[in-house]
Amino acid sequence: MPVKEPSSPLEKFRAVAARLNNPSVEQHKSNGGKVTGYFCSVVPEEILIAGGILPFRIRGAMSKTTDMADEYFTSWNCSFPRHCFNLALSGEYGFLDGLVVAGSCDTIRFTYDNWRKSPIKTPFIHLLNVPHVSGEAMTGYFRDELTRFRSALETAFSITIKDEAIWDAIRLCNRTRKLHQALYEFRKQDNSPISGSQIASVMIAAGSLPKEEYNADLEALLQMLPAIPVKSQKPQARIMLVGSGGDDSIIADIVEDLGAMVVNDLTCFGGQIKHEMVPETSGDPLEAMATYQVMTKPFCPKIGGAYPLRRDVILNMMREYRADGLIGQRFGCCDPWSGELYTLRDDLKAAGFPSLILEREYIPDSLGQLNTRIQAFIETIRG
Amino acid sequence: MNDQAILDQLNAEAGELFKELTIYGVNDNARKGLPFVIASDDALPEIPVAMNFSLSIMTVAGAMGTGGPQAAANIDKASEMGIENRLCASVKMAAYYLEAGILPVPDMVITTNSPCDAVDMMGQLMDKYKPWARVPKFRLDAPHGTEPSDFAYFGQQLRECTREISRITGRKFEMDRFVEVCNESNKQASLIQDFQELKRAVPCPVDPDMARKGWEIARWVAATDPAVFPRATRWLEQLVEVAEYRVKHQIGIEGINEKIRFLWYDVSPSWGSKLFPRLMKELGAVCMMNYYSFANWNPIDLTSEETIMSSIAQKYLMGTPMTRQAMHSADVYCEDIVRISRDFKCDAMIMPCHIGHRDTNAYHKLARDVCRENGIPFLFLGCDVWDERYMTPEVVFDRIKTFFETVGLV
Repeated sequence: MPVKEPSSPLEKFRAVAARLNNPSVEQHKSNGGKVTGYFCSVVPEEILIAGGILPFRIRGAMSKTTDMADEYFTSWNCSFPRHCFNLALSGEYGFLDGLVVAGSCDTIRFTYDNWRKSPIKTPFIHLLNVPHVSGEAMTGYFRDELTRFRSALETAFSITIKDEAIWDAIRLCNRTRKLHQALYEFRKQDNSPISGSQIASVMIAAGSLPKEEYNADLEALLQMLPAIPVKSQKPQARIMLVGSGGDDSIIADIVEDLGAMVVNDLTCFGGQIKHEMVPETSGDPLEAMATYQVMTKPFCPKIGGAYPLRRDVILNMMREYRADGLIGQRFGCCDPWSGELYTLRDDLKAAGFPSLILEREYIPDSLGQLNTRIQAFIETIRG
Repeated sequence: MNDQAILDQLNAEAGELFKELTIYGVNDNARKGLPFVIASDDALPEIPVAMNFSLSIMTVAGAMGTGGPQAAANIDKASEMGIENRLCASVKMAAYYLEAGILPVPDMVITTNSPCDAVDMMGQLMDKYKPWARVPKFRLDAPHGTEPSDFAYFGQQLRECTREISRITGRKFEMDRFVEVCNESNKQASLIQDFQELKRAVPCPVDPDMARKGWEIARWVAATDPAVFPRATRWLEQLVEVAEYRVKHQIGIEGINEKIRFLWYDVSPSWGSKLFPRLMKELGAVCMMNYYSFANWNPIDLTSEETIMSSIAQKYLMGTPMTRQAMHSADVYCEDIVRISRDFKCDAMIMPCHIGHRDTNAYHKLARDVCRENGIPFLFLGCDVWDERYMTPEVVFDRIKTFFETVGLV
């Protein structure tokens, strides 16, 4: 059955975010291109792009169950990678030519072993070791890991990835980051032409489309937004989101259905990927990317020594975007975010910001409960 | 030789020494007059012993607390604080100790991401703990790789750590003394390996859990109290002597008619004293190995400062229980199952699948598959090795007994 062409960039982004494979990926493959999936934003897309490979961020979209994955994992493992793995076991990631798993958190890292030892026939699978401390020695270690990663790609796909191609990819991805930052600017105003839920779709789609195409669509969207009529009603409350996951808009949907507004976020699929730029200098591009991930953008709570930076970034974002409060979400059995949100809650309180910490499963057990808690929070904080 | 009397004395000595690992011991250590350092995870004894300072380990104190008075109430308090409820209970207990303010303020804090997210989180809580804001912190990045470059990377950090310890505590790092301690450490490792070899005998000459006790004395207790370090060597020497004697005379564990040998593939539970003796007495089932009684240490290479640090790093990354199992690939995890089962003639493998161990929960199918391929009967439990309320020792016993009956071992 022919798929209806989206009539606007936003409609396209929503369609892409709601599914896994999409027409652009299919087109890339039919042109002889390779697609490599990856877990975690710490994996540098730039190296893949420089090798002519389409990076595809692994998500759990469309997943309804973990029946097959639960043969490998138990319910004491985080539900997000379980859902992603279940999709892979049921063939939904059959379009991948490769997979890169960042050794970020435990369960993501264990997914690497389960994936490679499962019947899933992904030709190239690579574990990218990631430092868990923000520091100069760790930057050197990660730079060496990126070198190993580049060599592995070159061998697996019979390609050569030159430094200049990586610099080109860095410039391309930096353009994406700039566009993302411009997009989020619209959320500073009370009457924004784009909702937090819609922004979530735009950000999720970033990991599922070829960058040049994505950038062109996002530029078109940014040009359209100022002309979109907006509601004159002030939101009930302005909310910032942080936490694990973020490849869905469940929390944003609830917040905005209740009349509040998600003004900014620092989630894994959202605000984290737009923060700062990789410096466009000359010299070693792998060094530049290693520094960016380890020192400039250490937003995963698994990166030790960087909590003060994360906290200050969040507080600055809340002030800049006039947030009234913060919602922190984490998936059950996520130990890193458990500790992070536990401490952040106190620091936010000391800074005068109320917060709500939500634990949920990737597919929430009860949307009603989430709705009730968020509603109570909004009523508490609204001016 | 009055071998049983020697074993009883070693057990009594171990019991006394383990008090240093509890929360009470941690507080006592702070008052000993030595510089006092707290680490989030298992720490290398060579450094505190050589530099003569006391190093207590948070998660060990937490684990010891889960077997102590008011354990359940304290574990629950951590959940009430807002810490993830489905976290390892030993970490919950440690988090409770920290947040309840019952730990002494250390001179320095050393944290690391190993062996798992939970301990990493614990370390980060320590980093962020406001009453310790002025306490200097040092964070080690334990790599997941197992290449020489990974060991060199970690070894360089250990060396940097010793410089920081010197700067903060005033304790000097003297290479001669460090080499002396590493030599002693190699001797201890060799003794534990000897005991491990002697365990292969049928019947097993000594309760294999003695290896865990020796290990914990040599590593954990000695780290809290450097004076214990040479005592650990003598303890191990006596253990090996008894085991050698018993193997020579084909004597098994006293009072036990050994019929079944099994691998308990996780840490020894804090409620283990309610399970393993009963398994031995009633079923003749001897637990040949758990994570902590599995000696897998490379010798420390004393050739140069660089090789010492790299080989200590390798020993830590590949030889420390839980770090070995949880930090690296499933290949390491599964190969150990086969090797241990084969070398120690295990009739079965029991996988406790501790609810706080994300690794065993993620690898249970791979473990089951490798057991099936190698003809090793496999039992999955899903218990909590620290909080017996989740699955009581009686229920665990019944499940194991039924399993043994099903596979024809009983």
